[in-house]
Amino acid sequence: MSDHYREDAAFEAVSDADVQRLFDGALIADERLVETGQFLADLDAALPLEPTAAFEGAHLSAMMAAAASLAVDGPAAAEPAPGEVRRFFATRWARVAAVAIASLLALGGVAYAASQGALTARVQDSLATAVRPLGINLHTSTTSRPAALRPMTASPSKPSSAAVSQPEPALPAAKPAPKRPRPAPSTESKPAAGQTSSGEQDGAVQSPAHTAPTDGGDEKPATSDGESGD
Amino acid sequence: MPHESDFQSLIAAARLGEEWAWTQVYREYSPAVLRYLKGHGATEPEDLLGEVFVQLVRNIGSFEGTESEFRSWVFMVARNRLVDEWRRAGRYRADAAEHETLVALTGSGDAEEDALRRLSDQRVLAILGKLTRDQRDVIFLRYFARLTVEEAAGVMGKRPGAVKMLQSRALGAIQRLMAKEGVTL
Repeated sequence: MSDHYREDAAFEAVSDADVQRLFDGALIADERLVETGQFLADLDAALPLEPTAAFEGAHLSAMMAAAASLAVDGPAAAEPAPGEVRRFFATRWARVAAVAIASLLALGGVAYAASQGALTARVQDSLATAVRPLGINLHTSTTSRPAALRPMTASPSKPSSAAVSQPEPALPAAKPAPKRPRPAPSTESKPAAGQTSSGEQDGAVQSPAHTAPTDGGDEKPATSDGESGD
Repeated sequence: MPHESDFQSLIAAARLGEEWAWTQVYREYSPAVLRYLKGHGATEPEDLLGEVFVQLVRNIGSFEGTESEFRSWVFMVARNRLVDEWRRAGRYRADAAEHETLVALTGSGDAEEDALRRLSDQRVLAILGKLTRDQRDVIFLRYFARLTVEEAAGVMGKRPGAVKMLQSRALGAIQRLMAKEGVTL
């Protein structure tokens, strides 16, 4: 099979111009193409152009009926071109693009929901774990996280309300985000001092220092390469 | 093949549903489309041909372009109808069935003529039947429909580079199969 593959691939060395001449039925000096040109000539004989006069009447009647229907009902009544749409989505890149866009939209929606505190702590934790390999750090609900969960893509200039979070040093100018009322406050512990007020329990991906977040300012700002400086 | 300015007048008349224009379009393109459908082993190529042209009538309002673009579009619609038929028949990947249909083509017609042509035709169609569907499609679109690589790529929904590769492989396979003595049917 691999021999076939090699032999078939040998034709890749033939120039585009020679291949075009082959399909045009022109004389070609290349011996390999002479044989193939003969095959195409034989193909012409085996599958000749046949007259279609025998079906012309029936086909034209159907075509004129379709044209009359278009004239009466307008183009909207005509069948759209599902084939073209299907063909478009049949291409590999279109499918990949559609899946990528759908994934991004879904991820964006989830991230937004997480940033709004609309997800339960467990879901939020699961999501944070799932997207961490992608370099995205979502807020987590627990107060103690390993150092591995420190932000990887944080940028000091990014606003703190984004779902992709970063360490928030307690800068004096930092404006707290509006607090979102929690439906069941009794099941959650009260945010400790120094926590952000965005509704998440700890405001950002945590470093070990956040296990006792009394000052919130002990985190180093993220470096530009995404490391948290630890 | 109509001159470009004549072609634009023809398409304008076809958009208005003029019968003379559609008759001309049908006569110009239907033999090549029928050959394309038969070459792919369509079970009812004549019926499919009718469906292709009705679809062209329905969608002519959305077509704008040159004669070569129209030709590409005609074959694109034909290919879509073929794919629909394959799906309906549940043999989207059943190349073997197409191979049988192809070989059966050689058995029809006058007996004496059959006897003269049979060997050559069977050999050619047997080789064709051993190509993959995409390889066959490239050969038909490039040779029968006279489409460029780019136009064939548009019809097949592939990149031109991929079509060039398919074309090379198809020609290489044809050459290999021709060199092989006694292609079995």
